[in-house]
Order: sequence, then structure tokens, then C-alpha cells
Amino acid sequence: MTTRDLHDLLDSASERLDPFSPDPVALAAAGRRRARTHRVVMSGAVGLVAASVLTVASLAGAALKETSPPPAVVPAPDRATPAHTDLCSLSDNYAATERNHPWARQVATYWTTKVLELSDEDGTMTVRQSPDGTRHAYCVAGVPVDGIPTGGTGSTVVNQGIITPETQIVRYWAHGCGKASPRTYRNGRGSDYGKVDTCLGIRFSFAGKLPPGVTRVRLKGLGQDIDARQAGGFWAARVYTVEGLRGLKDPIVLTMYNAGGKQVFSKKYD
Amino acid sequence: MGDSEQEYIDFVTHHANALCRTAYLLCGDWRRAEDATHEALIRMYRLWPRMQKRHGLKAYARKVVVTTTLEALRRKSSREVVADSAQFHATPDLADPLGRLESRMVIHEALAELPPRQRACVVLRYFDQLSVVETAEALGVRPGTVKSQTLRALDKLRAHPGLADSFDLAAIGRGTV
Repeated sequence: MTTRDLHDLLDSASERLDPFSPDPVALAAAGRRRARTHRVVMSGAVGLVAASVLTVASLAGAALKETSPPPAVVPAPDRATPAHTDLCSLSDNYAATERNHPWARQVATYWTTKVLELSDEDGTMTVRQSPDGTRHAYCVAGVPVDGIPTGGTGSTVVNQGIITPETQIVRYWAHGCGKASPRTYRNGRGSDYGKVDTCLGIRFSFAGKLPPGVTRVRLKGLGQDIDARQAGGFWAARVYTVEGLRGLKDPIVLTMYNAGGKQVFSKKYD
Repeated sequence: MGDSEQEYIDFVTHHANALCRTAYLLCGDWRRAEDATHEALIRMYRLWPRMQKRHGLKAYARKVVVTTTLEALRRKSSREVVADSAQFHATPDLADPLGRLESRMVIHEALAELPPRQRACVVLRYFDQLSVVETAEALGVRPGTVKSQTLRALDKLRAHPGLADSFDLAAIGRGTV
């Protein structure tokens, strides 16, 4: 095996169906916010240090005069809690969403108002509203297979036709079994390596905010022809393919229609 | 929109996917790879006016991505379990789709068993095809460290049952790093 072969192997191992293409405008906006925050923090740092010194000094003085009650014991986070399988992104700012696990866990736990929910054998997709009602997030929860939570991040479509950053279309994927039984999963590691995998499919989740004038969102492909569910100005749909491993032989076409039944947007996923 | 911002947008448009693939090979999880790439590109925005005056934007971007990904790996909870997403993103290969998939899984498993620094050396040297010096710059270490880490990594890859059965790695690393 030559270095070229190793390169090809690594190249092949990092191929994907949908190339990673973040929204550069959203990234630039996030960069500007970060730069502003950096400037504010730096300019406030000197004042903060001075204020902290004064505060510590006054607290130390007070402590000499009276005995404080012992501080309340804050329970440590439960490290035994299984990893959360919810993947959440802001509905109108996928690229700049703070998409780390703690944030997703917080959204899945505390954003309890569900504007829209879709469930099937492979999990759920929900559109959740923040407690103050000002923001929405899309969350996808995959069903653990053999105890292993599965799922993957999505991609987004913005600035195409009538789709704007506010009504951007997001797509997630998650390991899918469909109606396969038993549901066994091979993760390719350790003692599980070599186990026969009966879950070879993908469950795609699509969601978005309805663009003005759109009354119907239709997904067609993979032998399915469904209308997305709508509620609260949002739409969502889930599509399953057992052939995900080998690529989409039959592309998924997402089409939007207005009240007159006229097609106003179309996007092909292949 | 100024020229500088437009150039940043062009850079993101053309290089984000390649950077994300490097990050993915380092961490084995597309979600983390995308997060690391996002973070790196946002960091780059703040430094963009200064960076434009220098050469090697891509090299600097790769360095930020590698640093961000390795930082995230250090913070990663040992209890978190993520799926091996390679299974979901296989490309059609009508000749031998499952064999091809199997190869990917083997290399993923083999990479996962390497310590992060050794994995980074392999990925940067043989996927991004950087020189020893460029790899050292990307990782912030000395060239000698890259050589020794790469040799150790290749020794482990040779010993991996999946790769040993399928490939002859003996030709790599002996006097070539």
C-alpha cells in the first residue's frame, strides 16, 4: 500500500452525500457578533477587575463580623444520565446555532412547548418554542438502537428562490430501522464489530418555517409521496429509506405550493 | 458588503467542506466536525483583515480547525456515544458497495484507536498531504515530533487486523516521513 492508497482510503472514508456547505453570510454575522463581544469584554475587563477587588474586600470584612451559614450543596450533574439524542438547531439560524450537546439538552428539556411533533419507528422531530416565546428550534431525537443513540447533523437551504434565512429548510438524518425487526446495529467498534446490522436505512427529517403564501409542502421520492405536517406557521416531514447506505437511487423532491395550487418552490435532494 | 467580507464568504464557500472532512477524520463524528469547522471559521472572521495580508490562508484555517477539533476532543465526555456516521454517508459503488463500506469502517476503527496527536499526524500527512514541516506548523509541534508520532501511528495501523488483512502498510513510513 502506498501513501496514495492511504490517501484514497482516508478520502473515501470522509466522503459524504451532501457536502458541508454552511451559510457564509450567517458565519460572517456570527463573526461580527463575536468581534463585538470581544471588544466589549476587553474594554470592560479593567473595570470588572477593580470592582471585583472592592467586592472581595468588602465581603472579607463582613465575614469577619458574622458567621455565614454554610453554602447550599449544589448537586453535581448526573454523569450517569445517558447521552441525549436530541439534536436541536434554531429555526432561523441553523449555521450560527450554538450546536453543542449542552445547548441541545437544555432546549430539549426546557423548551417544552411543542409547536409541531412528528413521530415514527425511528424517533421524533419537534418544533419547539422557547419559554419566552421568541425563538423556535428544530429537534430530532433518534431511537437508540442496541442502546446506542444515533443521529447526525443536517444541512440547510437558504437564499434559493423564496427561501430566505428566516424560512430556511433544514434536513437532518438519523440511523433508521423502519419496520425492521429485530433492530440490531453494528457500530464497527470493539466486541460489536462484525455483528450483523439489520438497520441499514436512514430516516431523514425536513423542517422549515412556511414562506409567505405557501400552503402546501410536499415530499416525493423513495416510494413515498407525503404532505408535510403544518402547525403554528411551521412544517415538518420525515422520510425513510432502506437504501441509504448506497446513496439515494431515487431523489427526494421537496415542492411548495401556494393556495392556488401553483408550484412556487422546488428542491431536489439526491 | 466590502471586498474583505466578500473574500471571506468566497473562502468559506470553497474551503468549508474540505476543512470539515479533515475535522471529521480527526474526531470521527460529523456533528463535532461541523461544529469545529463552524467555530474555526467564525474565529477566522475576526482575524480576517490581518490574515489577508499573509499567505497561506488555507494552512492557517486548517490549523484553526485542527486546534478546535482537538480541543473539543479533550472536552468530550467519556460517556457520550455517537454513531459512526460513515455508515450513513457511503457513496454508491455498484461494483462492491458493501466491500467499500467495510473498508471505510475499518479505517474509521483504526483511526479511532490512535491517540489524537498520532491520528492528526496521519490525517494531515496522508489525507491533506502536508509536508512534515507543514504538519508541525498545523499542530504547533516540532518536525521531529511529527516524524516520531507518524511512525508510531503507522506501526499501529499496520498492526490493526482489518488493515493488516487487507493492505500492506509496510511500504509507508519506512524512511518516507
